[in-house]
This record gives sequence, structure tokens and C-alpha cells, in this order.
Amino acid sequence: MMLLRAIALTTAFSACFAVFLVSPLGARAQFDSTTSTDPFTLSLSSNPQPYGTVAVTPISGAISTTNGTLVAKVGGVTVYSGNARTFSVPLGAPGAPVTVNVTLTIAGVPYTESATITPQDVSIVAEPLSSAPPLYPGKPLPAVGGKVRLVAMADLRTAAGKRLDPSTLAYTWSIDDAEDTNDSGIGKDAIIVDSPLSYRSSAVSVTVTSADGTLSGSDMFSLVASDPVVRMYAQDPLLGVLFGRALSDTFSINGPEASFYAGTYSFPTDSGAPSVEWYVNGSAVQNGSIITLRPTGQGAGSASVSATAGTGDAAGSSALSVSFGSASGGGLFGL
Amino acid sequence: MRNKITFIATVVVLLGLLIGAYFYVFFRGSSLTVAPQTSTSTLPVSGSAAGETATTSLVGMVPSSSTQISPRLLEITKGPVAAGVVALDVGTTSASSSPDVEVRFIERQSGNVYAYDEKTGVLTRTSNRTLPGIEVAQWLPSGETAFVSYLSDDLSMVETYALPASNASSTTGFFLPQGLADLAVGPTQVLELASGSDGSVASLVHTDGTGAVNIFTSPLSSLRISFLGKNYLAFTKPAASLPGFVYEVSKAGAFTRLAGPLYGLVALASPSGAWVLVSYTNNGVMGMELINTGTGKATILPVATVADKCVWATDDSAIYCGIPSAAPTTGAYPDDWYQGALSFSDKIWKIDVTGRFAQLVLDPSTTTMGSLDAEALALDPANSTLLFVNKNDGSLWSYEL
Repeated sequence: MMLLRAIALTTAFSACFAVFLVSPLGARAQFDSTTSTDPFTLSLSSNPQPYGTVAVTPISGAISTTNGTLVAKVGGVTVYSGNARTFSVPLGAPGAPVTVNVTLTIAGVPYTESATITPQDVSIVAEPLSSAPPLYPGKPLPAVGGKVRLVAMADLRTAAGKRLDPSTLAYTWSIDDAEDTNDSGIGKDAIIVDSPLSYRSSAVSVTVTSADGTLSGSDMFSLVASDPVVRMYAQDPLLGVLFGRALSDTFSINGPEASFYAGTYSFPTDSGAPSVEWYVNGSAVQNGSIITLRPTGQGAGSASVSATAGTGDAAGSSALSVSFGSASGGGLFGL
Repeated sequence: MRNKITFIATVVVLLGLLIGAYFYVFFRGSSLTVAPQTSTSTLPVSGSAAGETATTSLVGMVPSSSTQISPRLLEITKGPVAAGVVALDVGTTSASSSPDVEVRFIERQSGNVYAYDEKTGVLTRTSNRTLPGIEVAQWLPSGETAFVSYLSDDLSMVETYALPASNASSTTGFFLPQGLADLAVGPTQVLELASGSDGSVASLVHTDGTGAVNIFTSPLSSLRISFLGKNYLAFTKPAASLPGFVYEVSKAGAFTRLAGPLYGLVALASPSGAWVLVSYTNNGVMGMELINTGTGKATILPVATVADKCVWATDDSAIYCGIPSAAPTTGAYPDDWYQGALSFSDKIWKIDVTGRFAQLVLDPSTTTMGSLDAEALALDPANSTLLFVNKNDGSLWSYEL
């Protein structure tokens, strides 16, 4: 009898335990609560920039997110709904915090996590120390064997929107993952680096931090050198240099003389302006950025005219076939 | 006998020398010689600074050189003209008629200022100050003065001169600081940018050159500037293979990024400052977007060109641009265009900002004007007439909208 009672109690207990296990009550008890205490985290894949987007990825070592679904909301508005994977969150002005609330559901069990993203604006601007003619409205390119000035434009703001003075921020520069301690420091918003070799690149990065260390932003720039360019332009005594049309192939001298100007683009300038040498029919005739040529003799003729510029290892040239004179004029006394 | 032989021999020798000299002088081959370098300028420059006056004897009406291509399209002058013109509304004959537009431009080879009346077709030279070789002209909206830029004698430095439009003007010309990196002209003020190795300083001056006040500084030394409503616009000088940025600069000198990084970025602010047109390049393909400066929102546009080839309507309602018909994807923009390495074949389009659509305005291929590479676009205050310079030959055109 006692045996039967023991068997009955054991069976009843087992049944209750089984029910308990498969019931929601049992499940909650197994994972503590319906909203888990941080079973997963949110990872940002890049430094958040104002007015852009940041990629957010749910990561967990405790639960598998592969088969889960995810809903992300910003300010109550759904920005993503679907399979649990990386999603994008739009950002606003510098310093304006964006809170994203994520609900990750796995096997019917929801888990929540939230993150506040505060974008700070840091951009690296490249200013090659390279040549270009005066009045050129563009920017020359990093020169082979030259130098480039890199400027960090930082716009760090507090959550209240107060803009921090860029001169009070700390700038930490790195070149190819090696910190440049000499050029880093408070207010050091610019550095000068060597251009990389041809077909190479240099990675320059900067991290900008507020004085109290609570706000920071960063940017990275990949530096590549370019070959220099020489362009020849006609120079008219009244119209000036005709920068609107770079001469190529052929040019015809119709008057008593013609002047040419050699525009040098993207040559290194750290040791001065590039030197220009002119050649006529392969013979060096003159140095300088301008040359004036005069046809002499009778009849038509042609000549090759070229301008070669160089500084250090950087060299470039431009060539023209110049025609002049006329085929007639073989009569008496040249008439 | 002997004397006779000697005489004949002498004559023969002299004749031989004469014939040889004849062939040497008149039948030698042609070649190129290099003219000696001179230190003096080949570009005559008018007078010196303030106080100069020009004679008035040459000022007056000149024969009109305009050519009507179509009912709406007019070639004002074959030029070449300096890049930068202004159109003024000089009054209407009645309330229902379109305004009478006067176009002011500068003849590049002389620096003389001309005024062309669209309604009468009369071309008048209003200033005969001689200043050849002007590359760029920026006009006051009133048309009284053009701030012109040209190269120094040795072509190493930029000179900027305030050129009065009229000899009769009470305003005398004056030089601005040498080597200015950029200049922007507003209705009553001029924004000057001076740049050095460590950055730039922007100053605001009155249109008569007085009252210079520093407005902002920047660690950037390669900038272009303009007005943006009551604030200022600054963007990094463009290069096809370098990322560029455009900033709104407050009166306090704070830089706020509006767009970028975008390769080859060029920006053009609307008159009110509510919008900024931004052009850029992506793998050899040009793109354009419209930035709302209030919200920061960018709207991609269905047509693309270099923003320098565009002009805003005075009420911000539209943008007119020279849009290349088929820009090569192998080009580097805007570098190749700036350097004169390529020219575009444009059509003129209108981008309606309010209606959010683009509309073809002028297709040069349907006219006899030839290929058009539009630059220095301008509109009169009533937005009734579009002006543009053909970069191919420096000719000046007007199109009645």
C-alpha cells in the first residue's frame, strides 16, 4: 500500500514537472524573464556620422540570433522589421542623440535592448602641397614624392546641442595604424604627411575627443598619389592665357609669332615650383613657363614643340605639332 | 684682251653672288625661332589704382554685333567676353509686358565694358578703361561695378580689380588685395578670402573696398566661398579623386557640414540660402543633389553637370544649367573641364525646385548656334532672360524664357 502510494506520488510529481517544463511558466523560469537581462548586445559597425546612417548588428553569445526576428524603432517609428541581421539607423545633427529600441524574438520569446547613438562630425580634408596655375578653381592631386596636408574638421556637440570649440579638442593622428604622437595633441587639427609611393596607399585616421573625454568622433582617409600633368595653353597678348582650351595634337601659327604657357598640375611644391623646359624639334631651347615662337624663312613648315616639367621624381610633359608659314610665296622676290 | 677676260670673269662672279644671295634670302627653308624672354609685360594694364579716370571720347554707341538665331535665342556678341555677365531689368513699357533687359559684359581683349539693350538691340560701350586679359568677372547685382580677376605680369599671381561699369560713374576703380584665393560678390558687400599654408581668413568689405572686417577663419587653405542667405557657404576646392565637403559658416564663424564626403564636390547656394546645389562625381559619372539647409535633407536630381554651369533663379524657384549631352565616363570631373582638357556639348535644362521636375529649355542642336559648352550663366531679376557664355569661343548669348 505504501508502495502504491509512493508510485502515485512519484507519477503525479513527474506529471506536474512535465507540465511545468512545457508551460510558459516553466519557460520563463528557465530564462528568468520575458525580457532577458541583456542576452544580446547591439554593435555599431562604423563611427556614426551626422545625417548619415549607422549599421547596427545584434550580437549574442548566449542565444542564437540566426532564427530570430527583429524590430527596431527610433522614436516609436519602426526603422527595421524582419530577420535578425544588420540594419541601418538614420542619424541627425551632430550631438543629437538617437535612441534605437530593438526587440529580438527567438522561438516566440522577445528580448529587448536599446542603444543611444550620438553622432559627432569629424572629417579629414586632404590639401595636397602640389602645383596648379593661379586662378585654377579646383584642387591639385597628391603628388608622387610630395606631401599632403590633412586637416581634421571636427564638429563635436553635447546632447544639449552646444558646439565645442575645435581648438580645445584633442586630436590623435595615426598613419597606417601607427599613432603619430608628435603631431597629436590638443588643437592639433592638421598634419603634413608624405605622399605614398606610386600604386600604394596610406591610411590616415584621426580620433577627436573632448577635453572631458565624454564625446568623441573619428574619420579615416586613404591617401593615394597621382601622376603630374602638364598642359599647354595659348597665351594671347590681349586675351591672356586661354585656360579654357588645353592644346593637344596640332597648332597653327597664323601671325608673326605665338606664345605658349605650360600649366603644371599636381607637381610637388615643397621644394619650390616645378621647373619647365621647352623643346623645339627635340632640342632644349628655353626654361620658364612661357615661350614665344616666331616663324622664319619662306614657305610652310612644321616643328614639334614640347614642355617638360619636373620636381624630384615627378615629371610630366606635353607636346604639340606646330605648323606655320604658307606653301605659296615661291615667285619672284617671294611675291 | 687680258683686261677683257678679267672684266667678264668679274661680272660672272658678281652675278653668281647675286643669284646665290637671291636664293638664300627668298628660298631658304622655314623654321621656328625662339623670341628672347622679356621682363616687361606683354599685357598693357590700365593706369594704376584709385583716382584713375578714362577719356570719354571713345565711349558711345557701337555697331550692334548681335545675331538673332531663333525667336528666343540671340547671339549678343561673338566676343570673346570675360566669363561673368550681369542682366538688369531697366523698366517696362507696360505692366503686362516683359521687362526690358540690359546686359552688361566685358570685352576680354580690351577690358572695355559694354551694355546691350535686349529690346532695342543697341550695343553701347560704357567704359573704355583698358584692362586686357580678364579671366573672370563678378558683377554687383546693380551692374555698377565688376570685380575682375586676371594674372599678374609674370603670370604667377592673381590680381583683382574693381572695374566701374561706366566712365561717367562717380566710382573710381581700385585694386583689391593681391593674391586673393576667392571672392564672392553680394548686393552690398564683398566677401574676400585670403589663404596661406596654415589656413584661410575671410573678410567682408563694402563694395567700395572700405570697412574690411574679418568674418571667419578656417584651418582649411583650399576653399571657395559664397554668401548663403545671411550666412556664408564654404566648400573645399574640388578634385575628381579627392573627397570634398561643403559647409555652412555662421556669422560667428562656426562651420557646419552640409554635404560630403563627395568626390569632385562643387556647390552653388541659392539666393535666399535655403538651398545648396551640389554636384559631384562617382566613378566618372557626374551626379547632382539639392540640399535643404534647414533640414539637411538631400534630394538627388535627375540631371547632372558641374554646379559652376548653373544659375539660381532670384526667387529660389528654379535652377538653370548647361547639362552635357553625353559626358565621357572616362573623364575626371570637374578637373578635365577646369583644365580645358575637354569641352562639353550642352543642352540647357531648368530644374523646378518647387515642382520637383526637370525640363529641357534649349537644345542647341535644333538651332544653328553650333556646339555649346555653357558657363557664366546669369538671369535678370525678373527671371525672364537667361544669359550664358559659350566656353568654346567666348561668345555671349541670351535666351528669352
